[in-house]
Amino acid sequence: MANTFYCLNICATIVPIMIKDQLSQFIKYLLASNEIYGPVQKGSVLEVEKIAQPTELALNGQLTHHSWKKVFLPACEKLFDYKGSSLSEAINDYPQQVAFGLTTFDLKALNLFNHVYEKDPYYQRRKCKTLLIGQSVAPEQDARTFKVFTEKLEEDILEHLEFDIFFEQRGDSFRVMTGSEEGQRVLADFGYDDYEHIQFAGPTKEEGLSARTLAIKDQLKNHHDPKIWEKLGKKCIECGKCTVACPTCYCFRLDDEAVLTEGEGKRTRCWDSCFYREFSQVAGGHQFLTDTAQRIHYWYYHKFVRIPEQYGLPGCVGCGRCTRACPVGIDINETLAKIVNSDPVGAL
Amino acid sequence: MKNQYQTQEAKIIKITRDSADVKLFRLEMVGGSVGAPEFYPGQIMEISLPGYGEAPVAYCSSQSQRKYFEICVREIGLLTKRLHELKVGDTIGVRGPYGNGFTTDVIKKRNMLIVAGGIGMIPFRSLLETACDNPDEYPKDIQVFYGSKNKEGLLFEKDYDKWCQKIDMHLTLDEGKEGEKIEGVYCDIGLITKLFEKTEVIKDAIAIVCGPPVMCKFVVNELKKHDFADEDIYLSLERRMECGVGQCEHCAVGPYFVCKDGPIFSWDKIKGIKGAI
Repeated sequence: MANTFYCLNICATIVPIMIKDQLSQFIKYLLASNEIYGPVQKGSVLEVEKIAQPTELALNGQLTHHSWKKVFLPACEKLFDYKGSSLSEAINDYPQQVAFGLTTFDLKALNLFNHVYEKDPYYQRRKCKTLLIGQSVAPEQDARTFKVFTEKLEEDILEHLEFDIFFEQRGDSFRVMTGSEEGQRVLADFGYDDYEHIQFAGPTKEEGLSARTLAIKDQLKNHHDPKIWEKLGKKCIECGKCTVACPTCYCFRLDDEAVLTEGEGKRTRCWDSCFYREFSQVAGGHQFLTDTAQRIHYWYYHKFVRIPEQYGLPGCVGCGRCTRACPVGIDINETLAKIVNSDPVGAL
Repeated sequence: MKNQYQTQEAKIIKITRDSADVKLFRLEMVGGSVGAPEFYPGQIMEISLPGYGEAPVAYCSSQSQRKYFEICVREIGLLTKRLHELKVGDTIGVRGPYGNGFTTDVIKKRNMLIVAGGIGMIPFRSLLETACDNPDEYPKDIQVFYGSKNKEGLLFEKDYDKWCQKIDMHLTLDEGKEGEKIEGVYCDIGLITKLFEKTEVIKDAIAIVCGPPVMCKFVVNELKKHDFADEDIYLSLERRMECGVGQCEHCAVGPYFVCKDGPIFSWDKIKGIKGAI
């Protein structure tokens, strides 16, 4: 296939790019042998949906309303079939799939999932069958809210994300980058080789967690004002929407479901939410998280203390989905600002 | 790929009723050459009854016993009700062991005060049985304060005779007849804190506590009055657990996971965490 070279005004050197028609061909090419999930316009918001046509994909750099986690960790998944007291591992259908259009926020969340679920055969099998294609976030949205564009896309962000192919929007066209051999192979098979390769340099920057992340961790663990939680506890209605929308919320419960045949059924893993009362309930009915204030504190503590300490990664990618999902107007940036007693938080 | 949620089958080879709602189950692993998994006293396992789910329980037999292992379970919910219905010869699923248990040598090098309330005695049976089976490894003195609501709620009475040959054991009941002897052990009436007033508390000791949170609070206060250092006080914590491997987030206490970093925590590690006990 003939490739077209463009030099845009914004770049000093010639950057190879893929024009929209080629992108459309590429999506069509992938659709022939893959299920493709990507951002699709649903009413006033974008949602991650399975697509049938290239035109359905809305690659405009905007964040989807819900996160991408359902593509990697279904809201409910069968782990085992059981019969009597023995479990046989469920033979789940893991189709060859493409996650097309993850933003850098979503890829950052995936860094965390890759660590959390490193020993999980279900996650790993699904992940092995998934081609990850990223896209740059729309500058007008994020420069204002998250200060992402004070960072250099390639050195500060992309080198620390795991993906196969990445499309950086350049006007009406896209600069193409690969992050894996698989990405290179797919592009070569399609017949496109004007990409640049980016070598993954680990999920955190060379200097480790950002000063901001460390400052929040220290404040939340050792110094913050606990009255923050009392106030938030009065506001929060424990609906759990933030935990559903959040790309890094991964907690779960295991449940058994019987079928009609005596002694048979399935064991499933389903998303859970630390805002639900049963979350901390033990046999006999005692709950260790006794009120809303404690539950919301648990959520923040997980993201901003436990995750950084357990995995050496930020527990919040700064996408702001929780704030948008909250029906009572709890704003994570405001809460973090209260915790660190400083300006609203930037990218973590 | 290895599946961390896969359970192994264990067969029930003996069931003993220990109190009105508590049974002791002796189990052996099915299909292996050794009947018991390798574990440390204080560690936990997930037991699985398909259709009813999983529950974390403590090992409660001697670490030296390789032919079988035991669990002691109170009937308190659907899963435990079903477990209590099972008979000798039935099988359950188990996975684990999980958590730290008493892996450090500190319990062998120091005197030990064990304080247990109610079914909080269960994980200590493993420790006491292991100490009795291996007196050379556990040469130091052990004192036990064990409180229960009433006489019927006391666990492991049949073991007291053997334990008392090595262990200085004290019982107290919330309600009952003062001065009654239970399997040779004098029984007080009152809260467990009363034992701290009436008994000469073992010196140069570490203390290990397991019981309802409210009891733990009062016991820690007593221990501090008796000059136990924070790092010499250990608590075995209970939490809801789904996974057992530090993923599901249900059992977190501050920065720690009870399933992975616990269930045994030294007080100096958790004293600053609100709601730890």
